[in-house]
Amino acid sequence: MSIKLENVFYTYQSNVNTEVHALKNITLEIKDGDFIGLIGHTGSGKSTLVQHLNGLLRPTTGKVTVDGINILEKGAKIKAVRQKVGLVFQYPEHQIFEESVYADIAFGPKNLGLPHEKIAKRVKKAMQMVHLDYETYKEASPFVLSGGEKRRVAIAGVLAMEPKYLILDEPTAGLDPRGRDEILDQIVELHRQEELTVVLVSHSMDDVARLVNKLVVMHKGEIIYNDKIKEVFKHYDNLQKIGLDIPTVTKLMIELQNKGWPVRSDIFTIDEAQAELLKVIRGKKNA
Amino acid sequence: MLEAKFGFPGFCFRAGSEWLKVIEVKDLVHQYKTPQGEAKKALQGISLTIKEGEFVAVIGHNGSGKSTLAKHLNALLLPHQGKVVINGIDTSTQERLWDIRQQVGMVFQNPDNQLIATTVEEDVAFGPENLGIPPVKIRQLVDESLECVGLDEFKARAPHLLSGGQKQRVAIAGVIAMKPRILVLDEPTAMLDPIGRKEVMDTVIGLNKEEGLTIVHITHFMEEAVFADRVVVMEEGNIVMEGEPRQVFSQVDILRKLRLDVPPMTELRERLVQSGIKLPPGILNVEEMVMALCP
Amino acid sequence: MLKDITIGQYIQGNSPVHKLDPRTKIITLVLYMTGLFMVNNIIGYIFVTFFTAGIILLSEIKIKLILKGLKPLWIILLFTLALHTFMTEGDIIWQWSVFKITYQGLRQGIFMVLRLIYLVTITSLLTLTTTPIALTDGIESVLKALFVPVAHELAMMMTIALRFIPTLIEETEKIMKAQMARGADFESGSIIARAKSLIPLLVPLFLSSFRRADELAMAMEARCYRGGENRTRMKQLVMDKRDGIAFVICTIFLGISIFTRFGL
Repeated sequence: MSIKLENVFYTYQSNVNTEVHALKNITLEIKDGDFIGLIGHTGSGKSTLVQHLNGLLRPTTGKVTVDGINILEKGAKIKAVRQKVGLVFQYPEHQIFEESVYADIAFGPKNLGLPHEKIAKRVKKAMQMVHLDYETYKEASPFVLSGGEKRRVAIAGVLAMEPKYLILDEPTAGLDPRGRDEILDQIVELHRQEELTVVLVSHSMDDVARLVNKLVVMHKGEIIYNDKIKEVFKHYDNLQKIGLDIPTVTKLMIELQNKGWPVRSDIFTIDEAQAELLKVIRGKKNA
Repeated sequence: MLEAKFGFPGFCFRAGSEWLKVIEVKDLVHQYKTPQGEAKKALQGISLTIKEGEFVAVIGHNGSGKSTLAKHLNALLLPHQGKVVINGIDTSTQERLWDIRQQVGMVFQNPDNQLIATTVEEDVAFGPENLGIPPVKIRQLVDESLECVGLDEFKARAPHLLSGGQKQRVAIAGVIAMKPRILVLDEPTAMLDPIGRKEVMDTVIGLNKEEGLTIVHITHFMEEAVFADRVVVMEEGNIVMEGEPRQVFSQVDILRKLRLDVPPMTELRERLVQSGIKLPPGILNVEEMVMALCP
Repeated sequence: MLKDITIGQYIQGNSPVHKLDPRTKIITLVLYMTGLFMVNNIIGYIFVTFFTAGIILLSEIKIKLILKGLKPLWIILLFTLALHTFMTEGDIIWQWSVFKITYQGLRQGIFMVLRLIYLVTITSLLTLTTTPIALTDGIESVLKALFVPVAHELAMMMTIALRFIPTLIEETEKIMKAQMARGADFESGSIIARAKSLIPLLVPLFLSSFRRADELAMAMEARCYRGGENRTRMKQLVMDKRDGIAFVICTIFLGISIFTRFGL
């Protein structure tokens, strides 16, 4: 089971009446259990791409299938697709509209036509998944919460749909370091404990590289890399050329390699860097 | 009178060898009411002095009071206790309100919500128009400001067709067209992508270095604070740390406790030192780390 | 889908109509409308038709574009025609039970429809040939000349509205999509169900508009905005010979229109 995009093109008319090719020949498979980082600049097509994954946008040409359902087919169960593929937009707190946290999270399950008891169960679970205490928050107005809390309410609203695939578009945008770390930690937890397949859209390599196991890099509407992180970072020069930074520690390792140090370059976290440097420095001393 | 105000771009005020204090915040307290109705102090008696031409970065979490502080600098908010003095003018002096706002330009977080007009040049002209400057002079100020932020080619463009970084640069141009002496930026990069952030930072640094503008840059990105002459760390309405970026960032433990970011190389240095490897203090970036490791 | 809406669309051009001062355009528009409401016979309407066609030609705006602007009006036009044709007393041409068509009614109906068409055509010509900024400046200036007390505020409101329409359209689409991702359905169901389904769209939209308004007000204040007093403008409106000619032509137009109605 997977989400499959085959030769997807997406073209639209811009304000000045020119055709914009937002996606060019995209072929991509998101498999069960993947944790994918989708990286690219604003305008690289990543937001357009994710809207194809749950049928909010339909490809101009090409095919999109979600667990075998072709979203272009007439009478395709688009609602079922949207339930399976949970999409958290940028600044998701802007979509909150109900008077209480409970009611807002219940919006999705209600649209699915579930009975009350089931809805309550789902809301409870979704809140637990984003670490919002049910009793404390259920009656609270979402509008008086802090920015980070609001965002968690919005994410819970998507989780209450019980999706199999969770796609988050820039989930940390505008948050401070504390809020950012909390959200990212929770996403990792959702992947590990709830076994959700996660696609994390971001423009920050530093955030993404240490979390995901696969990286998809987009540039000007095309996928230029789709591989394990280690493999993608081998194209260090090209990534920098298109203005996508690699993690700082990876940069250090590459610089040290250039100076003739025998260090590995597939290092993305400070922990790894510390271990590798200690190994090499101590090795040097002993030699 | 207008000539006196606008005739000396880039003029620096020095009193002897001492730089003039352009901003003086003394025991500033600001209270507000929470939605639950309890009174809280957003600022709990802050004191801060900023000199002409200085680049100060203020970092801290959302809710640490940094935005509240920023809004006191141009009298958008007035102190409940203590005082704020800009170029010798107390911000609570009602008659000088517009002088203060002209001298302290302010750029906000959301690029969409601070552009007023339907074209770039009309927007940049908004401030000078409010000051009642003659039309010919406004034209000149607008052209200069747009050139300064590198957007002269976008004059006739509608704001909504610009990228986030470009919008913020228009906002900066709109402020410097009023010829302020101080530029206060309240998280101008929080909603931008890395390219936009770099555009804005380059512009701000340029204004500081080339035009001698005093900068108060509020951010939670450590990478940006590194460019400052001085970093001020705020937490719960208090200033908890202050100093040169190197000094502040080398206190990894305190920053960690505040759950603020530490530049990765600084943290790596700290850990290597703890493992018994000798490295000089104050490493901020990759180049410095490479220098330290391969002397 | 919402991007198709074009409010105050401006078509770039270099025609004599484009080059007129916005104040001239607004005032001559009033003269034109007065003339249009004066004429009431066939000769008058022939005259107005030629005059209107002349202006359209002069403006170099494609006729197709103007017709597109008239399209949404067809129901109103049809209704106007029907109302006049059936409701006016006079010489009966055709009758079926209570319904009757009179010569006078038909004539009146056609005249009214033409009047409406010309009115909309010329007004849309104003927005098609004038940038929104020039238009608001023109309105402000004309209102000030008429001693309307809130002239500046009205103009500022128009400017801000024009600035934020694209932003709000974008935002509406985004929120709509976000709610659709949570299973919302904006397209099917009964009228009541559909109206109800708009709540998750409208509430966030209102909230964000309030937030925007708040932040914008703060940003304006920070940039020393304090109303229209002592405010200068970068772009000054200047009239030249062309504007004088336009005034003369439109005054003559009004004169002839009155003449066709009352004679000498």
